[in-house]
Amino acid sequence: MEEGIKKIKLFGFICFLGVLCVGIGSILVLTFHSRYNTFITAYEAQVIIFTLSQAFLSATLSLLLAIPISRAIYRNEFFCKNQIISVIGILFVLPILVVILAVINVFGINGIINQFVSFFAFEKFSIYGLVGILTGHILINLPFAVRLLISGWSMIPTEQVRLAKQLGFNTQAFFKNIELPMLVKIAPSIFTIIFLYCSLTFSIALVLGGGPSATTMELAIYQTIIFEGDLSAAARLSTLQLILLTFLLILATRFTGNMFIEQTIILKNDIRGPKTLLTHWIDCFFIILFCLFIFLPILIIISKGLANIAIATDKLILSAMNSILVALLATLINLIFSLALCLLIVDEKRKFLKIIIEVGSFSIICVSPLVFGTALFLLLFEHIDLSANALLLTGLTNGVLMIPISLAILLPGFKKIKARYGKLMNIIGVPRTSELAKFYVPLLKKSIKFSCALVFALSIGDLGVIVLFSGDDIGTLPMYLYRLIGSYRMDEAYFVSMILLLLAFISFWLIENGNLNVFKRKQMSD
Amino acid sequence: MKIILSIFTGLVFFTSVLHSEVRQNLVVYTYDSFNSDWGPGPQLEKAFENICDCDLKFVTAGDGAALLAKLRLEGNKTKADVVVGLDTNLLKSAKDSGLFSPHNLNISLDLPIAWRDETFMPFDWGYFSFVFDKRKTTNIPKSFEELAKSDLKIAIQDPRSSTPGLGLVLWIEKLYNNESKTFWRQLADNVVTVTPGWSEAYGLFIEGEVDGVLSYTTSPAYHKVAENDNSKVAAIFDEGHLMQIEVGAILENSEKKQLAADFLAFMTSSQAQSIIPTTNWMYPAKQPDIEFPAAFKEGLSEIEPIYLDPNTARTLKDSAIEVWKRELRK
Repeated sequence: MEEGIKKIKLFGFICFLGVLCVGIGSILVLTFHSRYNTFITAYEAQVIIFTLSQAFLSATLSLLLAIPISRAIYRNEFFCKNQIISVIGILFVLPILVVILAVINVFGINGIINQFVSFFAFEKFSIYGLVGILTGHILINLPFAVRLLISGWSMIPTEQVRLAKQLGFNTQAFFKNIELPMLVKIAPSIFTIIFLYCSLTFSIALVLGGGPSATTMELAIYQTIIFEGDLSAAARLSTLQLILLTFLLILATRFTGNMFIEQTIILKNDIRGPKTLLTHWIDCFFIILFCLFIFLPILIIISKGLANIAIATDKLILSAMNSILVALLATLINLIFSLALCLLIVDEKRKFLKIIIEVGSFSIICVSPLVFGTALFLLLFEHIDLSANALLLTGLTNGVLMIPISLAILLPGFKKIKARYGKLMNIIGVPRTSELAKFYVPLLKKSIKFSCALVFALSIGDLGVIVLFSGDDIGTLPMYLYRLIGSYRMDEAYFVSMILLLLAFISFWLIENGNLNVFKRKQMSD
Repeated sequence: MKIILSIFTGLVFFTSVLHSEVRQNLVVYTYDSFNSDWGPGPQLEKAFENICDCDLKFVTAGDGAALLAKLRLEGNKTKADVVVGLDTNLLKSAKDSGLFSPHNLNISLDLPIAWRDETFMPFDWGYFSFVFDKRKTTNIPKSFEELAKSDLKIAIQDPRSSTPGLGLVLWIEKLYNNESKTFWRQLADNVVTVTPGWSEAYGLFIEGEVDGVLSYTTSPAYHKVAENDNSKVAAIFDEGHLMQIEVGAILENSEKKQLAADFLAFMTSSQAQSIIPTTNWMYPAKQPDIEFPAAFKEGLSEIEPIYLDPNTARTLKDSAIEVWKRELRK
């Protein structure tokens, strides 16, 4: 084997080991700092059951709604279609606290919908309870699912659609023979990502769940680490969490054959299956419902932001710049890691090892961010000044923790290219060291841009795992936002939320659509 | 790849070099909002540096509970010299950690209760209370009974993740003892929701989603003084209000114990005490020479103080949370 490829492989393997460390390593660190015991209490069992069942329901509903909505969006042309597709994911980037306040403004006791309801003299409804949890989680995850499913619909080969038309398939037959196979292939992975996300948060479930019965494992972990200082209990809970969630991940991988989603959306004007008047109205219904559901909260934040418009202070500008720095760093690190891991996975010929690397890389998404932050803290605080390096560390951890998201976007492309051009590359003797630069990157330009845009926007809005430990008066935009609310300054907080939203949106749009020309060899792009 | 790695290590080095020591450093750990632009931190830092010939550096960590967690995680390797902002209801485990050293200060304070502790020095305090909006709630409840019997909707914080939340369950446990179960059952239909922290609950209140929120008797003063908004009012309960006393302490491992003690003494000085109330929105631990806005003292003299010493708080805590968890289940 050439010298160069050995180095690339070695680097990929180091990346993989680093990624594995995030999960198992974090728990080991916590265990070493505590007296370990393995018993699980009745309370913990209850919490686990609640966590998994609410995550299951949230993921199922998000997916079930996303299927008709994405289908309707994909099949129809309407006003601002492309813009809507690129904005829908944006609520995902807001700090949870702002999302909660936005939900309350729409669905709460005095929210828009209840005011509408009471105007017609109906009784107001209360959102708190399971409905609240599901609404909150669906609001965050539905756009994500819709976005990924739209690319699913666009993956259906045009030849199949033409053939179906020649055979005179009606709506049912078309769905059964053409659309269902695609859904079976990609739906489980979307389900898994949403499921894992919902099991690793606690604020939405607690606030919109309305009481202590809505306790998730993540809150139990927060309590043990922050309130009780009981690391052994935290280690025990997170071990359980990691095992359960990784098991689920493996199940999903086995079920689909692979975990991954085609990302590029090609909105060509091809035939998109049979239509009747009824399906047309159903499509309209879903599109309008979805737009109302997604855009009301966003509009509320923007209108509240505009109502409280203020002159940006130095601190605000500094925080925004810090946030951009963190996001840049996170995107860079994320890209390096994910490209290395993708190469490692597609180059691995032993099937067993390949699956281990795939599942292992994805398992980061199963680790409680708080546990990861605590472990990182315990490892580093003696050696470096954490508060001085807070931005660096936040960028690093954000980048690493988002690897599963970028892998979900990039890996299918890598696999496709390997399958299609792998032999060709060998025959024409492309040096293996330049495969990445000559094949993968130019051919997957769109996916890479989308992945970078998502990671960048997400880490602008993310509070970051080390927020508890960052310890300085300089901070990122989300930290600034939390400080405002913590100091009674709700009005300014809405202004900052709007800035955050705009910043995330603009950067997302620029990275995804901007022609930055970072990737040469444009002529090879699809 | 090598280039990226070297840039990376370079950055780490660079940021570390920037923080090399020149003057004597005093590292003070505190909670996040204490050192925000609007908190007392920046003003206190300036005032103390004027008299100490030292470099005061505030290091923040989330809220009061996270602050203690951070110190516990760091153990005896902590770089902190002083910590300010520990809450009396979590003080027992702070004491047991053995991380703190006696301050050897003899300062008389103006707290409603007698304070004697050789390790922890109070710098401000407050009463937990429910805050309502006068314009919407005409019958502000005068007791827990009235609140439970009313159809007012309130938001409270989770005692497992928030210090005011913990304060409420202790307050009720102290007042009702064995009857706390029954009381929580009565209160359950008033509780719209439970939030992980103070910010979410107060946000719900400001948005008008709930009639009242668990906060402090000093919260309305903020709205009056800073926003000229007279509508917020704290409900004063006949049974009395649980006190939250915020304390500072010197770390056992600090090599600057004298400077650290000077800082704790400074925190109770007239200068610091006149900064804290209108920035941290808590009552001063020692009455400074200046007069505070009238809004601050409203109803203060009518309140019956309830104080739980750290040991009692620790003993009550687990069962109080257990009762809360069971009776509030819907």
